[in-house]
Order: sequence, then structure tokens, then C-alpha cells
Amino acid sequence: MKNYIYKRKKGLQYDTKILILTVICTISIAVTDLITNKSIIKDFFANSLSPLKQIITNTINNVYSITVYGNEKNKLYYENQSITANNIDLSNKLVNYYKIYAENEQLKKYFGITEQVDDAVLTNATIILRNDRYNLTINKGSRNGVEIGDTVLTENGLVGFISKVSYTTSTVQTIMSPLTKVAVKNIVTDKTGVLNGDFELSKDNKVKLIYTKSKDDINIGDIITTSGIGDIYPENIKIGIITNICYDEYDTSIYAVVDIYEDIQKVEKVAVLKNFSKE
Amino acid sequence: MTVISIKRLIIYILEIILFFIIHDIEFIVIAYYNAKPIVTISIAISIAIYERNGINIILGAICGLLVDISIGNIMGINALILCIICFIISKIKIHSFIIYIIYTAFSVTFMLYITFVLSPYELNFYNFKSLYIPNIIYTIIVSPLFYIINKKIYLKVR
Repeated sequence: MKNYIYKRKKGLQYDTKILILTVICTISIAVTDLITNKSIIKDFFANSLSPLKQIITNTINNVYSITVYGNEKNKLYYENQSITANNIDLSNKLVNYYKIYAENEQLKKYFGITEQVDDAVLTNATIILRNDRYNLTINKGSRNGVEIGDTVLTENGLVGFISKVSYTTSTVQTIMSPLTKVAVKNIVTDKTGVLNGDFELSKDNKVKLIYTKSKDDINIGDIITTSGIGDIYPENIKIGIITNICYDEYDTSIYAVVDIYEDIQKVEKVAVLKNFSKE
Repeated sequence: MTVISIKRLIIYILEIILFFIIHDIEFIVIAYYNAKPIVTISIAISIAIYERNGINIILGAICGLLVDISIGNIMGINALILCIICFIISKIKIHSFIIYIIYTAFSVTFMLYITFVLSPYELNFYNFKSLYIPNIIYTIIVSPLFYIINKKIYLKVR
């Protein structure tokens, strides 16, 4: 009987006991989550499964590339991969005591962060879960100094902000969320507005620019960046480009459709801007 | 006397973990609709159809927790719902492929609706359609796969 772990003795009663125990456990989890606002179980699962996910994703991508590309392309692809791997290996050997400092400075420069955020620190993070279209889970939490309200961005521009922090993971509310409002400015006309997520537009990786005073303030092709108003996001982080100007169907106010530079639905790596002084 | 072998239990757990890992990778997700199959619901229900010995309730709760991790707002809510659904399913004696699809469709719709109600988004049908209908359809489409897999596991692994 070694192969068996469980015996049912009284049919329905045993099932019911298990159900009651499970219900108590799940309610406890829900209450703990609500009280502490920290998902220990999510942390555990996300961290233990993310390395496995990485391996499986890489394997699937490799199989996909073998199937899709021909032999010649495949050969070049793997040659390129090999050279890239060698490069990474060599550059890793060069990294020393200044690694974190240099990386931070480089990232700041790369992302075009201005002097306003000199005291800020950028931390790389990987997306481990996509909760829905508007929320992502990253592999950095309070252990890494991440706090609610920290800005999340990539080299292509703003992604969102930290809305929930656990010990080892955090939830990012993206700028595509209908709940997110970002104070922005049009760097061509120097006029300000508010960026707001939209259910329909988010399918195409786009958002709405609202509260623009007149049609002259916005033109197709204008670039939108953060304005720094409200001190939630640093100034001058690029966001996207205006692709359309429309009238609201209810109150005929003007709004612009902004195509976000970063493809938020596919982004894999992000950076968290920590310690940005919000005074 | 109803028993479950350790081997079968391990296979179920591995199946749950494997499909949970791959369910939201770029290759699987339909980007435009942001549709991803909530496979753990299908797996839990297909297990509940065959296993009637209490372990289905525990596996249902685990699958529900994974749903909470994946799309939920409060940890434990979907776990609670799914373990009760699994318990009820194991008590209903009529089981077939069509019934399984109906169970899955009902469960995924109900659980995602509860998730939507608990979400901070404005409650209207348009938002629900935009956020979760693609996931529901995708889950129903892929669910026969788990019916077949778990039937095989139940029959072959002793």
C-alpha cells in the first residue's frame, strides 16, 4: 500500500471535511492578503516558477526559430547568437567593483533621465506575469527597495508605476490602464494635458490624451513626454507620438490618440526608478 | 474503497505547473485581445470529473490560487470558488465531454466575472467584454485538450 497516500473511509463525510479545511485555508489566505496587502503565496509561486518559465520560453522560442527559419537563416541566427554570447561573456569579465554604479549611470543616460532624478536609482526587473492587459508582475519587491509609486520604464519610454509591493514581487499598473492618469506635455507645442488609458485603444497599444485646451495644442506627429507636474513621474520621460485627433462622442471635447513607443503587451524587461524625490 | 496513487497525483501537479507556466508566454497569448487561456480552471474541472476522493478539492484550490496569481485581485477568492465547484462536480454523477465543456464554460465565466466585480474597473458589460470575454472563449477552445489528457492519466496511471 506504499503507493497510496489516501484512503476514503466514510465517503461524503471525508470529502466534506477536506472541503471545510480547504475553504478555511482559502478564506485565511484572502483575509491575510486583504489585511497585509502582501501576497506571500504569490511571491512564492512567482519566484519558484519564473526560472522554469524562462527555460520553457527559451526552448519554445528556439523550436519556433528552427521551424520558421530555413537552414541558412538558422545558421546565421545561431552564429549571431554565439557571437552575442561571447560578447556578453567578455563584457562580463570586464565588470568589476564599479558594475552597479556604472550600470546605473549608463541606464540613466540611456533612458534620458534628467538632472531632476540624480538621486534616483534604476533597477532592472523582469516581467514574470501578465495579470491582465493593464497590470504586470515584476520580479523585484520591497526586498530590492521598490516602493509604491515608483516609476517603471524601458529604453523606449514610460511603462507605468508600482501599484502594489510584496517582498519579492511588485505589481505594475501600466499607462494603458483606464485607472492611470499621467500628467504629460507636448514637447512640440509645450502644452500640457493628461494621458488616460482606454479599453478600446489599449488593444492597439494606444492611449488617450485628454484635457487639451484647443485643437492648436495638438498635432499629428507631436511627441508626448511626462511633464513632471504632480511629482509622480520625473519630467521628460518619453511616452509616445500623436497619431490621431478626435472629438469625444458625448461632450464633443477634443482628445488625441497617442501611440505608445514601448509595446507594453510584449515588454519583457523593465527598469524601476527608485528614490525619485516626490516633493 | 477509493484511492489515488502518488504517481497520478505527481503527474497532475506537474501538469498544472507546466500549463500554468506556459499559459501566458508570448507564444500563447493573442496580443491584440490580450487573450490567454486560464488553463488551470480547465485542468481542475477535468480532474474533478474523474477523481472523486477529496484530492480534487485540494487540486481545485491549488488551481484556483494559480488563477488568483495570474489574474486575480485578492488571493484566495478564486481558490475558494474553484474548490467548491470541484466538490460539486465530483458529487454530480452525470459526466461526459459535453457536460465537461459546460462546466468549464460556466466556471470560467463565473470566476472571471467575480474577478471583474472585485477589480477596480468600472462595472459594465463593455469593460467585461474587453477584458475577459477573449480569455473565456480561449479557455473553452483549449479545454478539450485537458479532458483528453486527464482521462488518459486517470485510466493509464494506477
